[in-house]
Amino acid sequence: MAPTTTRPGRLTSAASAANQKLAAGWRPRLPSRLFLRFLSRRLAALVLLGLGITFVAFVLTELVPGDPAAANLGQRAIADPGAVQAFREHYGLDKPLPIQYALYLQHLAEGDLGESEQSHRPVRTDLAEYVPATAELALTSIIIAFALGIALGVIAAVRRNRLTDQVLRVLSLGGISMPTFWLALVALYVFFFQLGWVPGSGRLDPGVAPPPHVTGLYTFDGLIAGQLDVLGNALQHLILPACVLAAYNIGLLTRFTRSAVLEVINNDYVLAARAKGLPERTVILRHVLRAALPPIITVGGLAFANVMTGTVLVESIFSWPGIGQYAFHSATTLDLPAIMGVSLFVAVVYIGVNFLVDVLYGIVDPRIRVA
Amino acid sequence: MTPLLSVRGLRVGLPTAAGMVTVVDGVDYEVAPGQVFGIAGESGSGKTISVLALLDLLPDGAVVEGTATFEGTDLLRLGRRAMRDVRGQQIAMVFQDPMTSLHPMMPIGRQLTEHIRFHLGASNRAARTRAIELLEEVRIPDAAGALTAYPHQFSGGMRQRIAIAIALACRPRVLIADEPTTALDVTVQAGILRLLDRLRRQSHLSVILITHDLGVMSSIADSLTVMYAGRVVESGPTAEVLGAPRHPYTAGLLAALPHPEAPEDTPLVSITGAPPSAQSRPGGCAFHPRCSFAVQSCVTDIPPLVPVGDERRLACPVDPLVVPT
Amino acid sequence: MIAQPLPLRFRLGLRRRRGTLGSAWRQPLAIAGMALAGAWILVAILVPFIAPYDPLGQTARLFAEPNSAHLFGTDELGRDVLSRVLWGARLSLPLAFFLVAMAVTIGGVLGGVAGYFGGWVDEVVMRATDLVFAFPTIILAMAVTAALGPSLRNAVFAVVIVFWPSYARVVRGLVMSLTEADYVNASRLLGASSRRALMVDVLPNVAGPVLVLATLDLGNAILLLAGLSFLGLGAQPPTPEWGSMVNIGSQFFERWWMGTFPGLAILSVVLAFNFLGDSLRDALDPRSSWAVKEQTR
Repeated sequence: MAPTTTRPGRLTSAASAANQKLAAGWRPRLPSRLFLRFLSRRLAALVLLGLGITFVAFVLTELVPGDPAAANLGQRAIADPGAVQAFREHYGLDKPLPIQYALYLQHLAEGDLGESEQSHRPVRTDLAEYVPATAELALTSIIIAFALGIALGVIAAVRRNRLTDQVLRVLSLGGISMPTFWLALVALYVFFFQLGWVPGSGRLDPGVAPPPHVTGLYTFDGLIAGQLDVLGNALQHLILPACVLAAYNIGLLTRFTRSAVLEVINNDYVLAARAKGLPERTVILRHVLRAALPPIITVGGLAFANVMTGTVLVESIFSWPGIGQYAFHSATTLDLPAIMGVSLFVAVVYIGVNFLVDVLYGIVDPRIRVA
Repeated sequence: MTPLLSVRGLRVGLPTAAGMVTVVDGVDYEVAPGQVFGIAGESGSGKTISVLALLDLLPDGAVVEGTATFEGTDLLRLGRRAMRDVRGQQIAMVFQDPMTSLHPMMPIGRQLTEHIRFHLGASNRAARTRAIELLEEVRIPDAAGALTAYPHQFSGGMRQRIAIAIALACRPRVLIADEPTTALDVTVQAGILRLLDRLRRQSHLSVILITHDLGVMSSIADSLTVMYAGRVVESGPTAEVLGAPRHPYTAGLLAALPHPEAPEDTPLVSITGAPPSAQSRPGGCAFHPRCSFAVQSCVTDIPPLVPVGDERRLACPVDPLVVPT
Repeated sequence: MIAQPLPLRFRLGLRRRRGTLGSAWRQPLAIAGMALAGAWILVAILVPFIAPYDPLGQTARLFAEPNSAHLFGTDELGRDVLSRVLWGARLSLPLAFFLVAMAVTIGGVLGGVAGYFGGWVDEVVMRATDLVFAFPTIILAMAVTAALGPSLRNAVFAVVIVFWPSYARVVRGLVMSLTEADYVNASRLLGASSRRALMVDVLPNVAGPVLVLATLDLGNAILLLAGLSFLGLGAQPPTPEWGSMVNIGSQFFERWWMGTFPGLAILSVVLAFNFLGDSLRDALDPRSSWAVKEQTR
C-alpha cells in the first residue's frame, strides 16, 4: 500500500507503509521523505508569506497622508532642496506604484529599511543595536513560561476537578486577562520601589561594564567569559521583566498543557504502562507528558508572539534597551520608517519561529519524522 | 491441583453520572497453572472490568468486593506498592488494540526494557539482551534493529507480538489477554494464537483469554467461562461447553454462528433483543427477557452458579438443554 | 457478530453535545463572570449619574492621594481618578462590543463564503488570514494605527483588522465540514432545501464556537485597545481611556493610584469576559478543558 498523500499543511502518518519495510530493516534515524517534503513546502509558504508581509508594509506606508519627504527630512526639507530631490529619487516617489513597490523590495533585499526620523540613523543600524537585549529577554521569558506553565498544567490535569485544579483555572484565567503594561508597573512598584528586591532599570547596574561582546546576551557572554559577577548582575536585572512578560504565557500554557494531558491520559498506552507496574510518577512524566508534548510545542509560536507584544508594551517601563522600547518610542513619536522597519523585522522573525516550531514538532513526534 | 488464581464473589461498581452502577455482579472462577482460561461474553458483560479489578486498574471511585487469591495473597486487598510489584511481574496484560496500547512516541526497545529494569533492577545491557531475546521469541525479524524502531513502523500483527513480548518480559505467572486478536486480520489471528499457545507450554504460563469470538476460544482455550450481564452463566472445559451447551445463552451464541457449509439461503439465527446496559439489567436472571425457556422464577430469583457434573457449572435452574438419558 | 466490541470505558467525549447549556449558567465561574460583566455594563450606562465628578474637570488639588473626597485620588491635572475610571467603562465597553460585532460579521461572512464556494475565493481569503496572522497582534495594530494617524477610531479599525481572521477560519472550517457532513446530505436527500439545511443543521453548530470566541475576544479587544492607547496610538488626551491613563500613571511612578486603578478596571472587565467565555466553552464542547465529566473508563 502506498503511503497516504498529504493535504496541504497537514501530515498523516504512513503507518501502512510499514508493510513494505519488512525486508528493509528498521533504520529509523533518517528523516522520512514525507517529512522533508512537508518542511520544504512550509519553507516555500514561508517565503511567499514574507513577500506578502512586505506588501502589507508597503501599502501601509502609502496610506500615510502627507509628503513623506517632508516628514522624513524634517527641517532639512525646507533648507535643502537637493536632499529632497535625492529622497524622491531613492524611493521613486514620482514613479507609478508598482515601480515603487519594486524599489521597496530591492531596498529590502539590500537590507535597507529606511532611516529613522528620530535617530537619523538607518533603521537597520538601530535594530542591530537593540535586538540582542530583546533576544535575551524573550528567551528567558519563554523558558520560564514553558517550565512553569507545563508543570502547572500537568498538576491541574492530574488533580482534575479538585481544589488545586479549580484554583489553577482561576489563576490561569487571571494570567491571560492581565494588561501586561499594568502588571509591569505594579511589579516594578512593589518589588523595586517598595521592597527593593530587584534593580529598577536597564540590563546592568550603572557601574558594571558589559562582558566582551559575543552574542550580545549579557548572561551568556558573561558566562563564557568567566565573569560571574557580571552574569549575576545581569540576571538580577533580567528576572523581573522576564517574569512579567511570562505571566500571560504561563496562563496560556497551563490551560493548554492541561487539555493536552487530559487528551492523552485516557489512552490505552497509559493504562498499559500502569499495567506494567511502573510507578505513577514515571507514567505521568515519561508516558503521558511525552505524548502530550507535540501539541504543547505548537503553542511555542503563539508564545513568541505574545512575548513580542509584551516587549513593546513593557521594555520602556524597565528601561530595557531593546526593540520593544524602540517600537514604543517610534509609536509615540510617529517615526514611521522605524515603525514599519520594526514591524517587518518582527513579522519575519515570527514566521521563522513558526517554521522552527514545525520542525520541532516533527522531531518530537516520531510518527511524522520517521516512516 | 491448587488453582493459581481463585476469584470468589467479585463485584465491581463504577461511578457514573447516574450513581453507582454494578458492572460485575458476583463472579467466581479458578485458573489452574499452565491453563488457557477463556472468558467469553459480549460487550457490556463485564469481562474486561473483572480482570482490570484484579490488577487495580479501575477508574477512580470504583468499588470492589470479593476476593481474588493469587498464590496465597488476596489481590483485592493489596496496598499500592505491593500491587505495583504484582503488575507486570507476576500478572501481565495484553490489550486489544496494539496500535493504541503501545506508546507511539517511544522506541519499542525502551517499552520493552523499562519495566525489566524497574522490577528486576537489571542493568541497561542486561535488559537490552533480554529485550532482543524476547523479540526473537515472538519472531520479530532483525530484533536488534527493531529496538530503536517505533510502533507505527510495524504491522498490526507484529505490534501485537511486541505487546506480548512486553507482557512476558518479567516472566509472569499469569498473562491476561483482552481480545488479543480482535483488532487483527483473520490471517494474522491464527499466528498470534499459535504464539500464545507455544509460549504458555514453554513456560507453564497461565493465560486468561478474554474474547467474544467463540472460534478463537475453541482453538486454544482449555476451559471456558461464559459471562452475561456481569455474571457467570456457564463454565467448564471448552470442548464440552461448546459441544453441548447447557445455558440458553451459550446455545444462542453458538446457534448464531453462521455455518460455513450451510446452504446459501439458511436464515441467520440471532438471539432476540439486545444485551442490557449495566444500568438497566433486568431483575432475577438477567437473560430472562430474551430466553425462550424462561419460567416464572427466572424473573424474580437470581440463579446460583452450581456444579452440574465434572468441572462444569451452570447458572440456570431450568437447565432445558440437557439431553435426558 | 459485533465487529469491534466497545470496551466498557466511557471515554471523554461520549456525551451529547447539545442541551448542556443550561448547566453552564450554574457554574460558579460563569456566575462570577456574569455578575462582574453586568456590574460594569451598568456602570457604563449609569455613569453620568453615579460619577462623583466631571472626568474632564481640572481642579487645583493635583496628585492628591486617595482620600475621602477622592476615593482614587487625583491625577496630574487635578481630575478625579475614580470618575475617570468609571467613565472609561462608557468608552471601552461599547467600543469592544462594536469591534467584536464587526469582526464577527466580516470574518463570518468571508469565512462562510470561502468555505461554501471553495476554489480561488477560498484561496484568497485564506492568504489574507495568513497575512494577518503573520504579525503579532500589537505589531500589526500599531503599524496600521500609526499609518492612518493616531486616534481612537483608527485604533478600533486596526483591531477589527486583527480580529476578523479568527472568525473567518472557524466559520470556514465548520461550513466546509458541515456541507460534507452526512446528516446535512441526508436532510437534503429527504427533500429539505439547501437553505433549510443551512438554518437547521449548520447554523447552530457554527454559532457555538463563534460565540465562545466572541466572548473571549471582548476581553482581548479591551486589552488591545488599552495597549494601543498606552502607546499613544489610540485614545488621545484628555479622553479618559484606561490604557492612556496607565500610560500617564507610568510617568508619575510614585503616584501609584493614577495607574493602578485604571489597570485594575481593565483586569476585572477582561477577567469577567474570560470567565464567561471559558464557561461557555465548557458547556458547548464536552471535550474541552475544564468541564466536569464522568470518570469511568
